[in-house]
Amino acid sequence: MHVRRRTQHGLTAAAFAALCLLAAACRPAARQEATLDLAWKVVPEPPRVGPVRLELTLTDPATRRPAEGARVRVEANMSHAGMRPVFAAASEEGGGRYLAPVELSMAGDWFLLIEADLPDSRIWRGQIDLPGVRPR
Amino acid sequence: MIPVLESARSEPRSRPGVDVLRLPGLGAILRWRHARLALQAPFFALALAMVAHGYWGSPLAPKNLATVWTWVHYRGLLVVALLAAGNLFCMACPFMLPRALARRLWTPRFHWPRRLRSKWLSIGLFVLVLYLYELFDLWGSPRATAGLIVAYFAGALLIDGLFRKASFCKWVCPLGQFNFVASTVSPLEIAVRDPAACASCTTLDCITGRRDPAAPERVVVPGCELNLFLPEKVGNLDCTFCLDCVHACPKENVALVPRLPASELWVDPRRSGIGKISGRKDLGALAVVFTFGALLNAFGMVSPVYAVESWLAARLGTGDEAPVLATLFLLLLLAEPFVLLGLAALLSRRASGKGEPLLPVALRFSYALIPLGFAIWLAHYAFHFLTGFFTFLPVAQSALAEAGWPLLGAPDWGLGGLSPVEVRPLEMGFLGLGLLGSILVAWRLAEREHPEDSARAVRVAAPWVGLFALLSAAAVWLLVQPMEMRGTFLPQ
Repeated sequence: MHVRRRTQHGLTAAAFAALCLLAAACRPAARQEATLDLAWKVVPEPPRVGPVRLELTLTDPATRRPAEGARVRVEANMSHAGMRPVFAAASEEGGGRYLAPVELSMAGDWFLLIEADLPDSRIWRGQIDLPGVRPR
Repeated sequence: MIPVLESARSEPRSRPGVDVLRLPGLGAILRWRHARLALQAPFFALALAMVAHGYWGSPLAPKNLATVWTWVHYRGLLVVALLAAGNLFCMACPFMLPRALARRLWTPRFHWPRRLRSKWLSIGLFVLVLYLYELFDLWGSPRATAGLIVAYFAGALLIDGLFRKASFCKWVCPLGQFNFVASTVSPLEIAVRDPAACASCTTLDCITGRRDPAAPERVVVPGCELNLFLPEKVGNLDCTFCLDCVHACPKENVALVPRLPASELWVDPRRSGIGKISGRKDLGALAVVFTFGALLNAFGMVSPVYAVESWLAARLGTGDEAPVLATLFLLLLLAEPFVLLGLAALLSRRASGKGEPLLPVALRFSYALIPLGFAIWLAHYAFHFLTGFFTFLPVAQSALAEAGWPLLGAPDWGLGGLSPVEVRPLEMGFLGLGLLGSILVAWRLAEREHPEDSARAVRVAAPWVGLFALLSAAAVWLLVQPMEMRGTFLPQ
């Protein structure tokens, strides 16, 4: 009886360890994070429900040079849980300037998560708070 | 007369027919001694995960378990369960699990104070939770939401650690009171199978608990800790669906039966553990706060609330949200019901020609608000639940990934649910059903008052029907308003 229970415990532990290893193996390799300065503007200001234009300017703070050639994505979320986010890809305008059309579907508090894949395969993440988006 | 209506009117406790506890499979699961524990355990695990993620996970509400699962899924499933079955979430309440474990270690010594044996304290706490929800934007704060969950756990443990029986559930828990009121429109009810078997019962195990024959002072299966004596229990008020009575009854004479939703609201027998609801001002107030609170809670999510708050702030000469919100609460939860119910009671009394004081009239018909109140909660919570239905998945994926266990893969934040336009007809349907339910209850109350004079009964019910129509119109107006969810009440 005791031997059977011990075997069961052993099997459980082995399964748990295997799961841990599997989980660790599944984890994607972390990408190197970049540090950039962000300046932004939203048009119209103050923003209203509907299409808005987000203008981003990314600069490398070490060299003061514009961050060019990045692939920039925007994920716009409401501060309330459960609202479907809005996604947008930004187009590069040169000089570290990127434009993203974002469709704000509801009035209220929004925050925008920005991700930029840099040419040297580093990634940069930033956040813009956009409180009090007005009704249309 | 429809047979089910007739049976509900003449004898609310006589319920032949289907017994869910005797259904193959499901019945056996529910009658299992550890059924409640089996339901509580996963909810407890989820609650722990929500608290942990609320405190230490992403501070962004749409990406946190605490906020997404509490304000989108828990609330949504809660009202859907109440509509489709009954008070299942009190049955599976995770807050009771640590309390049950603690009671294995020590026995509470005190009885709940006699002066507090009413719903007034829990009504105050219910309003306080609604107020804090708006003031601190709990929907947008994982940490505050986690704090609220912890407060519930601590409250249940503290109250029931000190006081005997289910004092927390019956007299304190604001969520429990919401469930009790809402479950009056649920289609299932715990009831006696055969009243004759109760008539011959001498041990009363369903209320006292089943005792160890060798040591009679030791209760081995608890009886109803909310003091609902089964043969005299009517309806779902104060019933947590804990199924203790099912396990305690040695004759297996307890059933979970279907009934006409809301039928318990137009009968007024003496109810075990409650008394006559026509004499319970606190229960009437709970029904009023439940209904007007539903409107208030929905009002807090639409654009016009900010115009009203700005106007109030200017009148009060303050930029602080707390007093503005408090004033709004006073207006919508106290002044508005006082005026509207007072007017309806005045007109209804005039039609009845009885010269009864206004308060008993208002109290009697206040219970008719419940179907409509529930419909407003249902429409509101169903909106968030259905439009954000699949968001449980990316947030779980993300939480696991943050914990170093990306077992569910990379989060897909594009998952949402139905569009608001698709949910709108459903919301309107709920409101329509709620309005019909409230009208039916008011009509049956008026008919009970004037059984021989249908024309007079119509005139007695008419002011209440007018009030329900007004509240329904307000609810429809709220639901078609542009939503605006922000944490700042004055323009920046």
